[in-house]
Amino acid sequence: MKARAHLIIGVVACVVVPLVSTLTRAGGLAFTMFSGSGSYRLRVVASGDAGERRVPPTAVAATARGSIGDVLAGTEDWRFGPFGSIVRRRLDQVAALACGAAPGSRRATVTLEERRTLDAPIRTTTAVAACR
Amino acid sequence: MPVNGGVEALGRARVALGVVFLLRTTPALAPLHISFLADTIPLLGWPDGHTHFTPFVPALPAALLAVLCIVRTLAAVAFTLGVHARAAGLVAGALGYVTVLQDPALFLTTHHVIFLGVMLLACTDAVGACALRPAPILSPVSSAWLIRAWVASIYVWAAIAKLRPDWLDGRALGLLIREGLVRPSAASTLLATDARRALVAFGVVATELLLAPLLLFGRTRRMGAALAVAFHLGLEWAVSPDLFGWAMIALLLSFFDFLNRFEPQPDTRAATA
Repeated sequence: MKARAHLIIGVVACVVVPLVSTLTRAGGLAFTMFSGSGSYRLRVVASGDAGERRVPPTAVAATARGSIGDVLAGTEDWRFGPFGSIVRRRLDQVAALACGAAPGSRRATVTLEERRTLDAPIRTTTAVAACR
Repeated sequence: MPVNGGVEALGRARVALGVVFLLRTTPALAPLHISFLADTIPLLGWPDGHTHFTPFVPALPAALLAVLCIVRTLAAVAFTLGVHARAAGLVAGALGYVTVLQDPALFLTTHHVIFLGVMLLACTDAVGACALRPAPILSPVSSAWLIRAWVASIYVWAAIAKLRPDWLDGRALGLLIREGLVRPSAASTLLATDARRALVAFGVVATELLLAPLLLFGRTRRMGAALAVAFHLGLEWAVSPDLFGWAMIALLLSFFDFLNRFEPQPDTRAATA
């Protein structure tokens, strides 16, 4: 490749991609080099004929297994990790998985609390899934 | 003009980053039982039948994903050996993203640096040296500058990400210690008090900010690269951050163009005359 192509590629790789990723706080394409201090926790409530009951997120993790189980395990309490934004963007999926951890339920409500840094305000997101 | 040495250095960086790519995506290091490499068996991103977060890119069928993992590995081998390395590097890096992003929880900064680094090296004259089948050398100076600028930019962005109160006052480091991510001997000495954690945190940011100009200016380039290697070895000792440090050291090899240092330079006045 010639110099002009290298210049264009360089601007995209050095500036455009990390800048867009930093500004949008999505995608993980900025070179943050393990600087994160974000944390997140989950509250899962299953409701049915017998009323409402709390479901431990670790029970949902055990049902899901795999990497999604690794991300959800232990989130009864604040958990340090870079996965808060992924859980938020896939909270509907987590709510659907919560149905599997609470047999007989009609509905699962999952509430995510996340902090981007130690000083950031808590961001709360809720998703509801109808259980079959 | 520094040409041959720069291309040789780029070639060495290509081989080294190719090796890191293979170590991070295949079970080559499985006998060492390194926890963060547990996901490389049988290959990184291989369909395992478990539930994953729905990907943010188009989802692939399991059989196709398995094939792409194999193609990615073969391409990485060709890139490392220098056989059709340009095409192989572009394929290996692109398939690295495609396969790993099938599970959003799997994608880490380390993957991003390795995959993008391989693709960028494939776009340069790194494919023209240290190769079984060297490609023609087209633009060695801009090739070297592309990789140097990108490596320097990584340190700048890393520093920018840390320019916030909870990093600079050492609380983020305290969090890493509480999570057991720091070597106990480092936690109990270098990072034992709030003041020391703040000092180390500030030192990390200052080092990253300093590295960018050191790596870009000719007179300080090798010194900057040596400082960067020492920086990553220190981090490797303290926190073992995946294979990130080794990927960066592989890229930093492109700064050590020994040939230009020891070979006599052409007399530009005579050439002009």
